[in-house]
Amino acid sequence: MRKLLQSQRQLRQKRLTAIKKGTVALIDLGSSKVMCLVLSLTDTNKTNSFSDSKSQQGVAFRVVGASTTKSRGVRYGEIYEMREAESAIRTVIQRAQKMAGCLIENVFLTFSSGSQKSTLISSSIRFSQREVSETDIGHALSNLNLVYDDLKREIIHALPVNFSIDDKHGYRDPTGISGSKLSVDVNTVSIQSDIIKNIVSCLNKCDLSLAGIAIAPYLSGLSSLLEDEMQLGVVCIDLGAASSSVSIFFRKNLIFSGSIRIGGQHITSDIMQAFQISFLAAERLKVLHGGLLPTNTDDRETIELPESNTDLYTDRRTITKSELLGVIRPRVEEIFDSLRSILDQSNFEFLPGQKIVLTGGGSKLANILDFTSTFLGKSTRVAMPMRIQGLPASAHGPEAAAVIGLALNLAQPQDEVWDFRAPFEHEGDEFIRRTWRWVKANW
Amino acid sequence: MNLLKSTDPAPSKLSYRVNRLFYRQWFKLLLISSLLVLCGLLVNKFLYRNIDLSAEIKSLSEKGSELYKDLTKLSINRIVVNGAQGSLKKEIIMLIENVATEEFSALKARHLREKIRKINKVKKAFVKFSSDGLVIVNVVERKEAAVFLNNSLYEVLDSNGVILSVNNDYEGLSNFPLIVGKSGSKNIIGLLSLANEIGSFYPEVLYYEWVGERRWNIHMKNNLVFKLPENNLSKGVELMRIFLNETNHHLKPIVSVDLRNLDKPIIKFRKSPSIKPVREKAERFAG
Repeated sequence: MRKLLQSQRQLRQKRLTAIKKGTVALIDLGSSKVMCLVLSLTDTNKTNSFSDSKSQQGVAFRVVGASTTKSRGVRYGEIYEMREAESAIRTVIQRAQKMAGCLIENVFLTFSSGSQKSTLISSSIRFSQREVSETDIGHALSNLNLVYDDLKREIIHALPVNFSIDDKHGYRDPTGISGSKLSVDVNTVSIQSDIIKNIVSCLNKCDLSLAGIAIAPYLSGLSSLLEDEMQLGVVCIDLGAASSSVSIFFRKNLIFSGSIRIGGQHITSDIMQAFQISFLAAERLKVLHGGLLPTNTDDRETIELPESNTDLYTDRRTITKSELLGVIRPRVEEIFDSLRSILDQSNFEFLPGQKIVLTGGGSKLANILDFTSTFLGKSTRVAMPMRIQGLPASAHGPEAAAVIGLALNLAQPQDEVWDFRAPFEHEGDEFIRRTWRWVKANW
Repeated sequence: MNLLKSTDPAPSKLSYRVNRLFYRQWFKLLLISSLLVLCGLLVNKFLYRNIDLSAEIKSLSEKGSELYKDLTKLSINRIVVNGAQGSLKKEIIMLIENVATEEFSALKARHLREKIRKINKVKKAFVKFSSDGLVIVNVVERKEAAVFLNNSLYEVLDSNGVILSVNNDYEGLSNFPLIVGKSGSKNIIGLLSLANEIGSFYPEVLYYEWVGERRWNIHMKNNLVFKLPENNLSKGVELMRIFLNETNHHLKPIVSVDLRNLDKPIIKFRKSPSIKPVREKAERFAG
């Protein structure tokens, strides 16, 4: 627990130090693209939701630079070829710097890892006083029993999703509520430590410092979902290039997230193999002519396959649209079948809200809305992420949902709960630790 | 599902680092300051030296002199002249006083130095002003080295041939070698080395004649003339000294010794019967 507390506070401290400098970069390390946004930040004082006496530094931001490049050396959000990934990051950073006209030193990173694991852990304490105090919340949090599969996992998010007092659930801020037993449920999202080590190493090689990290499914939900949906319960499906992920929100908290290692690139790969064309041609075919629901005209509608310019004596080949659909649909069915099994594990059926929101680059596929609602049997919508100030129109789309969510999370983080003092922390120790942290952060 | 180009160029590590360096404030300042210094050096080298500011400065100083005319006498309390003796010292003091009373703007170290340097006897001059009205003048004086007879006037020259004074007679100047002949004053350095080589016979020399702007004749006080060669002067002087040593007391019958051809010196005698023993000695000398 001590480790979790320290890591969460360390992340919080890093974020605050980066924000103080005024300019930060957000990087979405995807399998098909690497996207970078440069934010210019200004502090605005805002009251903490947990305590009126404490004031939290709220952040107003504006996008001053944006760039995108084709991803290299990255698969399923993990770095497979260090040099290639490094060159891709260098490309986006240099372009974004040029557009922003300032130096980028601190980077917040998001990615959709195929190995992420979401665990809901809970703890309860009995408190002697009549009303719940901050010390009691700290005590309850420090009492959490972490379930580590092994020591190779790192907790990225630890979000308190629910506080309960004497069998009454759904408290967001229990301070001042009377009772005798306080329980807290925390959703932790963890990934393998080696993945983060590789990312940090790659960023260091680009002279960048990692100031924060977040997983894409959570951020996609933050940017794409409406407040009511998040309150009632909603599933956000991020259809990425190499992986597809699910995040479930309830009462404005992330209660579950999971991912599968199948995405849009697999559809492209199928088209490539089926019609023996290049990857780029297959991608083009998917974007321009792809779809999921057959129509009566599909058999008559022909599509000319692009041929290589070097082949002099090759006949032009054509396929019907129904042939293309016949390649795309099974793979999409496979993706949604896997996602449905994840949803079954998450007990989504018991939530009051039964809505599904699609986002990510894969949600641009034609007829996916009808297909999903039919296939999963829920009401569905395709979401565009929230507009943020200064974001270029070209960078605004479902594929940018994660990076926009990262910007929103940076402005309004949900980690202030980790400021509560745990019982094993002594005043003197904490003072020395804080001083040491401050010295480390500033020099 | 976007169609990004696979040939997206990535910056090299070096260009990426250099690019990042250009965003750093300290690097920008360093670059700008070094550029400014470079520009300054170039301007100083190529432009500033070609600009003549003297005219403007002169007009400004003239205007200034009008304004501060009355303050002149207050500005100089004492004058100290180092490195000059006697008349030169007095001359410098008088010059400074005159300049100070004439115009206040002239009381600038540089201006005063230029004026002092115009005095013939002054080789180098340095002027300093102190706040309490003290003027310190350090002077390197020119020394008299020779006298040149120019149209019956005796010009006293220094070792560089600069005329220090002009006299009507030779009185009081006998310590210095006397030069006659056209353009003789231009070869003072040669003359001084010649006089030095003559050594102990120097007092017996009446004058040195510069002949045809190429060689020397030495006229002795006993009317003997040595005609020295154009080249190999030291060898000629050496022969002259040997000759004088050999014929020390028997020189009266000899008119001149021609050493222009060192292999065949020619001795010219007066027409007199009592020269036989001297002729013998002279023939032996000539080989």
